[in-house]
Amino acid sequence: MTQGAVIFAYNTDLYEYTRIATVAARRIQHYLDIPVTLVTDSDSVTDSDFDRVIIQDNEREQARFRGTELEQWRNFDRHLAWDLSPYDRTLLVDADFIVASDSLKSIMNSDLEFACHRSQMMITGEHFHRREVFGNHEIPTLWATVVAFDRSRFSETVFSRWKQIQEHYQYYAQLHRFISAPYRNDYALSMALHQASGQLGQESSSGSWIPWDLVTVWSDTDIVLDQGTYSMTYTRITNNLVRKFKLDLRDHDLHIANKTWLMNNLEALNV
Amino acid sequence: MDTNTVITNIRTRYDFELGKKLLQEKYRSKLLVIQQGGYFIADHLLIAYLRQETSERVILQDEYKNVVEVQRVPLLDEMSRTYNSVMKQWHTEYQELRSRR
Repeated sequence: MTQGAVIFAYNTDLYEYTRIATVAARRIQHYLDIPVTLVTDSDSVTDSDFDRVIIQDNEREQARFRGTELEQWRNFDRHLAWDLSPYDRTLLVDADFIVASDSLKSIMNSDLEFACHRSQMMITGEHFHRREVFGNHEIPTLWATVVAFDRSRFSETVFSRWKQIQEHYQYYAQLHRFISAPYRNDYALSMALHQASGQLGQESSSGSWIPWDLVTVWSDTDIVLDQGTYSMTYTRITNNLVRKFKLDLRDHDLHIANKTWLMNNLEALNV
Repeated sequence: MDTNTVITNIRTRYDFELGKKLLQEKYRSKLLVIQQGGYFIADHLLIAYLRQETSERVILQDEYKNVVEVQRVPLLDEMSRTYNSVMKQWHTEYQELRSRR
């Protein structure tokens, strides 16, 4: 049975996602010992860092202002991972998910048909073990940042539902009463898994989650990376006072949302 | 650097409690034992239960609420091995965290 990771990366005016993906791929190969396939529309990526490079057109983009900067991204084809992955067992990861341990090996070596995170914590210390819901029908939120799947009928169903939901996202937003823009893969995946599990919630689909938190670092955290140790500084309100905290972290898989920081630290992140 | 920034930096606290939680999450991922069709987190309660049982086979509820019948001794062996090795690493890193307080 073949195993491997798939990363989707489409460059924008602001960020070279393919460069971030290249570093992410090296780390996946180093820590998880599996090959990585890149899906991109850029023809400038060298094959040497990847098992395969799949060229996929993707014109549709989303945008939002972060401060005064217009941030753009293209995330509309994650559901194609089922069709594009060359592996029997696939780890679909965001380019900004920085692997620093072999923790996901146990999920890859398991016989779980489909697994993703159902809870996350933010590095600022808020929302530890947070399990969110969205919409009026309180659908449990799952995170599309890291998804492991096999070639089972169940996984195929999840991806076909994911595709259908993306195509009719406005309808689902109105049905469940959540904000339809920007399009969120997390929501589409959550609804897909919800439907594939018989609309009975996550508990009904045995083994569809990764049994630990997705740890996310948002852009409000200052990070200094030195020899594999992240020194983080952030503020948090405690007892009605804004306080500054610091924390050191190493060997911990992190979802780093700050793309500017990633772009500026590619060399330090390289393994 | 202005005076206010200097004061803020001096008042910056090491986030020991969050560090503890993150260590818990980090090592929880390493305590996962997948064996005999079940997914188990190696903890002292399950190890104690497996140790005090005498039957060759036991029925357990795993991490995903599946009810699984397993051979007791092979699972106990792997659970104990995983638990001891991971807790040792956890303890070492926890001591480092405490010293940074």
